[in-house]
Amino acid sequence: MSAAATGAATSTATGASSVSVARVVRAEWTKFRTLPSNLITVAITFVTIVGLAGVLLAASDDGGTALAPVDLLAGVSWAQFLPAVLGIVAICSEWAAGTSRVTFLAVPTRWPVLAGKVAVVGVVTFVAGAAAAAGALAMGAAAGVDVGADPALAIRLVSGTGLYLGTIAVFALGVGAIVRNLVGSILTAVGFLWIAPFAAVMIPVPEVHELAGYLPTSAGALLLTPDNPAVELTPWGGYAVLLAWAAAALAGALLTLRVRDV
Amino acid sequence: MGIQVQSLSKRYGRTWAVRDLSFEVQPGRVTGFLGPNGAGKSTTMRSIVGLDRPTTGAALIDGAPYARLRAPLREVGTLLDARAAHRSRRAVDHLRTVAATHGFPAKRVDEVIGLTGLESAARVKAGKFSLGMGQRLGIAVALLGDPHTLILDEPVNGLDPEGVTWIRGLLSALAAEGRTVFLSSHLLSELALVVDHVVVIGRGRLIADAPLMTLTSDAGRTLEEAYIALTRDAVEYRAGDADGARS
Repeated sequence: MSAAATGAATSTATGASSVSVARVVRAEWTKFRTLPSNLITVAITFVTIVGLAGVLLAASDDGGTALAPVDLLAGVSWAQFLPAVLGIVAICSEWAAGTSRVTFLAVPTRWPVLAGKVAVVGVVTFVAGAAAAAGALAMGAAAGVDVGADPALAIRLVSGTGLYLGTIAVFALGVGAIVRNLVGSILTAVGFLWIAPFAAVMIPVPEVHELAGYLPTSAGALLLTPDNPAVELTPWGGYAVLLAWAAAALAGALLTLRVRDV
Repeated sequence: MGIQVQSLSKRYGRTWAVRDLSFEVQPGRVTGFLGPNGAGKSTTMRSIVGLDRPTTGAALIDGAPYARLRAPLREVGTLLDARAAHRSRRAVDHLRTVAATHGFPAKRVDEVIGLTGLESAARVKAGKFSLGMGQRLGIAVALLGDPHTLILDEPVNGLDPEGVTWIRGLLSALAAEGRTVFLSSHLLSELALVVDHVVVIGRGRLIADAPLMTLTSDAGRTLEEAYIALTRDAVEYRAGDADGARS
């Protein structure tokens, strides 16, 4: 058949192409980097963490020697909202912007789209978080904070910041895929990640306090603190709980994608 | 071959958008898809390409359900909505994201940009596009995979006269190459110039499935007159109809 009308000059123009997970990941990466707002959000995440470390160092009278390495990551709890927004926007913008139809026409099996978004958002926020933590600790070391005293802790803080922020972003992405509406998704994620831990403290029931330790941010943040025997969860145990939340959100997301119309 | 809609039904909540609908769209000709607002045209098209899951029944394209296609864009080009690109993304980047899913070469993105006359707008953000330019971008996406089947929902909307002439020629040429072309439109006099065959639905059910000639010249009337007569009992929303639609 001639392909004159569609301008396909040769039969190799679209040749042996078919959909693969790797190609969908690449498509999602193209989507991510071609929206300026995503790059700005990543930059602000980095600047918030490094910047707050700088402020703390500048504000301490003795130039920072009294600060512990953990203190330098105070910005993580401020910045953590941004990776969550990245994850939610990555999926909800498909419906808000009307691109969902084009996306799922190209990938009618649907799940690779979610996998692609998880890969892109997860890796980008991991790298941004780890780089920011490394920057914050390097600044601290230069100012006299004894970062090298516990190398294992320093490594855990750097990788842990990346893992913590990356996993929160993936959890939020899963919530976004279930809720679909942008504002609804952000409110749901804020509820799980920030309001629930505070609300639990208000309830004067010991069992509630204990369970609150298993909320995503409460458990995951243990990765960014020294090992504390008074807390039931170890730092990595806490991270495993956060990971389980993210896995549950993704399972719900896969089911939603499968059964709901686009 | 072509598109086969088989006893398709789709229910949203309590409302049946499409009810036991069956018809075939043959390759090698342009088939128009007509019906009043709310007749179920978009639902039918969305079900054919797997965006909506039919409640019962099925739709096949060249013998396979859309979701089974390993390279769907090489089989079927679809335009459902002129506003289908992210406002903040440049048109060329929108095309690149779609091309990447199938590994189409960069050259192919340039080809469809040229084909749809978007050269000067390719680096403009889609949010700045007029409706007509949005249609051209949507058609560019539909043509990316050089598909054998085209499914186009209101492709003429918003196009300028030059664009209308262009798409008329494109659709005829595609059908002449043996491809399946299925398009909906409310612009009947425009549609009459390009379609060979007409499928009419109303209230989710089939009203007519006939060659254009049978409906028009053989019966001594225009497509518009034929359509009005056929859908008289199926129109849900009519101006000046005080007691509403459903009786």
